[in-house]
Amino acid sequence: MAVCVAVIAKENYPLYIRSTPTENELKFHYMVHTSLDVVDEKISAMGKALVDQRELYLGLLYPTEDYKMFRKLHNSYTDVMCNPFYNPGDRIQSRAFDNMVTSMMIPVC
Amino acid sequence: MSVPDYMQCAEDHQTLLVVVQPVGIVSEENFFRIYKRICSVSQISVRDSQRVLYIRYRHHYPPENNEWGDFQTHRKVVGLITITDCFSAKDWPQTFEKFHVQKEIYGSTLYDSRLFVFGLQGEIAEQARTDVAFYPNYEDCQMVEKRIEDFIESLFIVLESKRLDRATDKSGDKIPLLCVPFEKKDFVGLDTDSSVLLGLKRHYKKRCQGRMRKHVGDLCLQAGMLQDSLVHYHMSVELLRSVNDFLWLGAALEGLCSASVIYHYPGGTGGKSGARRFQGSALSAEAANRHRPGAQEVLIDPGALTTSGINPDTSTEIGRAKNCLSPEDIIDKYKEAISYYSKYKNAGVIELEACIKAVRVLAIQKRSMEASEFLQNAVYINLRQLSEEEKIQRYSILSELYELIGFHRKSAFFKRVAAMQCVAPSIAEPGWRACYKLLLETLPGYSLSLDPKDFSRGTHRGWAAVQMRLLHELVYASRRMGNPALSVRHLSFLLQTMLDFLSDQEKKDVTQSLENYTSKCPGTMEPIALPGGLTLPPVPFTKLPIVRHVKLLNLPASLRPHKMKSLLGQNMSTKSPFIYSPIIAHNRGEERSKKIDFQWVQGDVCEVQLMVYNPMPFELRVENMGLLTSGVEFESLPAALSLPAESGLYPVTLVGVPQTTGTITVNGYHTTVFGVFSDCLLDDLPGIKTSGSTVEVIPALPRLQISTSLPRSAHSLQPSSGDEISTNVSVQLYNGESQQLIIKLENIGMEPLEKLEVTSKVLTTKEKLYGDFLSWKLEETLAQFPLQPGKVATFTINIKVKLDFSCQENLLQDLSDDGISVSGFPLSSPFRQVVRPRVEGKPVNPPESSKAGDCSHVKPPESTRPLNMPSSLEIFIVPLLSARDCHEEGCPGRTHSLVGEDASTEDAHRMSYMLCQGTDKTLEAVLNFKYSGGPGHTEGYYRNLSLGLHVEVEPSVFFTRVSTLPASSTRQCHLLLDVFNSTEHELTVSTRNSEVLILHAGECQRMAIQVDKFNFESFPESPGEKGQFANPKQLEEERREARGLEIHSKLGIRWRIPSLKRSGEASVEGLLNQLVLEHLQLAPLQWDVLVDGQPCDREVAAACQVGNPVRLEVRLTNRSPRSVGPFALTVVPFQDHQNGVHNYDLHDTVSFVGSSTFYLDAVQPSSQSACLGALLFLYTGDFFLHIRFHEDSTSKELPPSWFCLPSVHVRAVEVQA
Repeated sequence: MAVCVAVIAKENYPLYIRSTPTENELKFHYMVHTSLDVVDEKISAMGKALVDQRELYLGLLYPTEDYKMFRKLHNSYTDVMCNPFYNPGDRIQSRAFDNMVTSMMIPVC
Repeated sequence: MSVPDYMQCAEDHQTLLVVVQPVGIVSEENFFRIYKRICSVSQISVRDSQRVLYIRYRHHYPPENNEWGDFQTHRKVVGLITITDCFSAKDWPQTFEKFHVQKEIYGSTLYDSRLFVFGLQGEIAEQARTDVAFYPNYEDCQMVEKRIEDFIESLFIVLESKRLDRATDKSGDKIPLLCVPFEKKDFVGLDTDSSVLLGLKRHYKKRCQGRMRKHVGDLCLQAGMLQDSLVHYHMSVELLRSVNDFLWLGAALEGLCSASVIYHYPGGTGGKSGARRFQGSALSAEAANRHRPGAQEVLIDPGALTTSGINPDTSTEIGRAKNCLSPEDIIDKYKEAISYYSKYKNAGVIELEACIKAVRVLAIQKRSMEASEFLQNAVYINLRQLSEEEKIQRYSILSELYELIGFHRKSAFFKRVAAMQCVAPSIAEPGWRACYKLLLETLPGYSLSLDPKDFSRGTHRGWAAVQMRLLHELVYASRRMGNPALSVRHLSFLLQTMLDFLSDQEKKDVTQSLENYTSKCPGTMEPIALPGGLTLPPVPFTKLPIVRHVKLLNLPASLRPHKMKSLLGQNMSTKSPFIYSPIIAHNRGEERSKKIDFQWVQGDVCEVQLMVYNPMPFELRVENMGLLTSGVEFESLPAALSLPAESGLYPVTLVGVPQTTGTITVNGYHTTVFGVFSDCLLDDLPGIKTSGSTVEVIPALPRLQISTSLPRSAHSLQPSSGDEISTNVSVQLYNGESQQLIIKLENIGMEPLEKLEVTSKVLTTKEKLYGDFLSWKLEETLAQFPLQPGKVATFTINIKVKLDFSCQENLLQDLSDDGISVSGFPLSSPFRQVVRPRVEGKPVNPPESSKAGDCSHVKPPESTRPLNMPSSLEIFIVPLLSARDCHEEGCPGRTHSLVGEDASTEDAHRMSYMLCQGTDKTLEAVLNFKYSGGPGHTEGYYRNLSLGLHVEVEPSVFFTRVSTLPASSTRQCHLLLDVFNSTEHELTVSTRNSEVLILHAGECQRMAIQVDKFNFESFPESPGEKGQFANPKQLEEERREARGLEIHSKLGIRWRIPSLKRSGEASVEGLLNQLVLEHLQLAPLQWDVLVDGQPCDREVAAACQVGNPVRLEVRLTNRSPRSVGPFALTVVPFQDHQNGVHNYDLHDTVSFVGSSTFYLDAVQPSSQSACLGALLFLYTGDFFLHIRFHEDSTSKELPPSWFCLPSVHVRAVEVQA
């Protein structure tokens, strides 16, 4: 299902990035990197439109809800953030998170 | 139509296309000079109307694009300007011919053309022609602009006529079908006139009408009639929609959009010529409004449109509908148009251009998301096989457009693709320079700056994989450009900033290639300026190695300068009159935080310690590593080091010599790693620990080197001593021995040594030391001063060790285990109170306390001894008691109850065995040499060199027992010493006035020394001076020491080891206790018996004659500080039968003249009183007088030792006849 999963910090750098065809990882790096333009645009658009800055949810780039992908990923991400030994801003190196991503990447047949 | 114009924007629809081209050989420079001047005339207000004409100039235009001129008139080349060189009249016809050939290319669409001839003069030039202009040269052509204006006006006339011509076509007339090139073949053979099918005919007619309406709209727009064009476009859209003529419907919609954009955004959407356009467009909008007053309000009713033909008067339609599209509608219509275009494969270029135009409009509207959709569409429009150059252009323009809508990452992505396209393998001559330039432009998009300072704050956070790729490409491109310095710089940057993200293999590869590059072009610290105005800052390798800690080291202790303390208090701030102020203290604190409070010395090697770490998976060779300093001229001595792979923290010491004085600041260090020179400043290093980097350099001082006659010692003195000792020497001496230590002082510095002071400090030792340990005379040495560099002086020190000669207590304890026990001894006697532990204040030795269990049985069972008393007490009581016994009781039998004169040899062996076990003692002392000279001396600095002295003291002799025996005289006594030879050699002991005693190894013998009693009271005691504060115990101790010294000097005991030719003193100071001392002391109440006027206190008997009364005088001298008395004395004569029997029954042999008992009332301190009497001996013989003493009062008991009662020996002889 998913070929590449990336978690991006709000300062625009990857906290986590992983893709299945490992031989062409750079391609996905480029892909994720360029797609951040859209996120930037959404954020700046929201800044103008919304008074309530607390609403940080930007919406879905793509309907991934078919696979409950976002929910899974977000739950796992929350777990990582709850780890008292995790330093916010560091790369995510949690094995649990890794396993979760792997499970998302394995195609469902 | 295959070549897209990526620069197109919506307002280009209102322009007239004019091609400017050179004919023949015209230099590029000249051509563009004229071209530029022509281009400046880009808009013209038409004379008699308010309309404005816009011109678009091109110097290159593919003729096949011209073929689409009917579809969108702004694609049609309507004017041609040719520029040519012609220097002679005979060339003229040929030139003119070329002009005509050129005209032919665009011939079908041209409204007018011009030829500008440069260089031709003469009659041909003078002929007045409208289509040809002659100029003598490229400088002298002021009239060009005017000519162009005329030319444009002529274009306008044609345009206006065409517009009117088309617009006034009667509806009944046959309207030609306008076609795009690829449609032409579709309509070939279609006979529209004879078509049988009416529907088809009507359909066809509508199509013709719609296309024509659209065409007229285009012409109106070009002619500056915006509102008219809107109306025409609207009508066209209606017509074409009904006949599903999608391509042209798209064009009509696009025209509508363009006209609306022009209306809404007079500033233009193209961006680059915005300002100029703004003025003009504003004017045009106004002009348009004026041209048709109230045009805005009028509406077109679409239902009222005549479908049968084109009404020449559009005014009838105006006022029915709102012509102009709203900004949202523009985008909708663009979308629609593009979707129609996309139905036609051949209209790819049109679609692409429409997309671009829409994006530009959206960018103005700041609707980036929608713009990106259009762009996304544009990306996927597949044109025919593009040439490499076109691809580059395409990607570049995509990048630009993404930049325009604020999508910097996508922009960077496409720019990078464009850069890669520049050097695609299919290109014969790769454009590395262009590639490099484009790559540099992508840097902001990847949020990558080439300044390493931006990366120095904490760990790098970014798109490492992508950034690294870009850096690699920069390195490669710069190398292929033939600029190795640049590639070294980029590679250094890559290594420095991306180190955390490089795999081990990559680290190896990168360093390998870096070394390859630097072998040709070493990396420098110079900024590299790029042609584009960008400057590449230098990249210092602060991570190769990583420096964690920088510490300026003080000079070694022996070279450390010290400030002489002056009375003025140099350390105090002289600025303030206050002795203390919190403000000043605060300031000082700040100063201190920066400045380190030690000094370096000019001319002496200084050290800075760095803790470095090699993050590389291989050995790192750092060359030429040195210090960067400021403030003082500094000679840095670079070091080369090789750090093992992934080393831990590794200390590196960088050295240098300050050449001048002042304040030096260590700013950083420089290295050469992989051929790259780096200057690493400490301020730029993240996470570095430094304890200040500023140090004062003081003027030069001499350097002293010490060498001694003694061997160097491996021992180092305890660090607790505070001073750091540069040299340690050691010597082994027997207890009591003396030795000379000769010290050679050599000045190994560059300055003369002018001053020297020597002090010594004996380190605290648990051993008690008697006498002067170290003594010296400095004057002889100072006579050799000043000591010039390289010169040597000598200095002599006497070492004398005199430790306790008493026997260790544990030895005695063990001895007492032997059954010769003391446990039965009555310890509850009053003497216990007098007895004290042998050494006051001495800590209880750990072995002793641990042995407490062992020796507990030694304690007498009935002992009332407090528990905290040292166990050594009982042991020492033994000899004391024996001494007392023998003295008081006159019972010699018990005196030697413990150790007899002939101490058993078994005991002696035992002793020697035990004494050999770790009985060596150590004495440690530090000799401080303070010296100074040269300029440093004038500044008030000196140096301190410390010599550690380590003396191992081996025991020589021990006095295992001390006791006294009264001598025959009350003024003398016998000191009994049990001397034990603890050496392994034969040893002799001598005193000042006795013969030599020979002791074999391990032998113990008793020696008796007759000594005069001491009058300790005569010692000056000055309690007023020091007694007030000193506690009584200390006073007592001092007094005892003084007494010990006195006794020692009197005795003068010396030992000698003949086999080793060593000798020394032996001292009893340590063993003397209160009791012995009291016995050695002259009693405070001194009794003197004078027989016949002669003092009688000796062994020698006083002779007197039988029958004659002998005068007897008993004198009492009170040396005590208090008055004593009253006393009574009774003289009792007796005879000693020398067999232990004393005969007191002498009434008939001796008679007293007067009383035999004397009464004394009181004796004042330091006064005397005497009692007189007489004796009459009736028979000859040896008599002894026993003087009995009766104390009157029972209240005050005087200590018995106060009474030193003399014994008087009188020999009565016959009177010589």
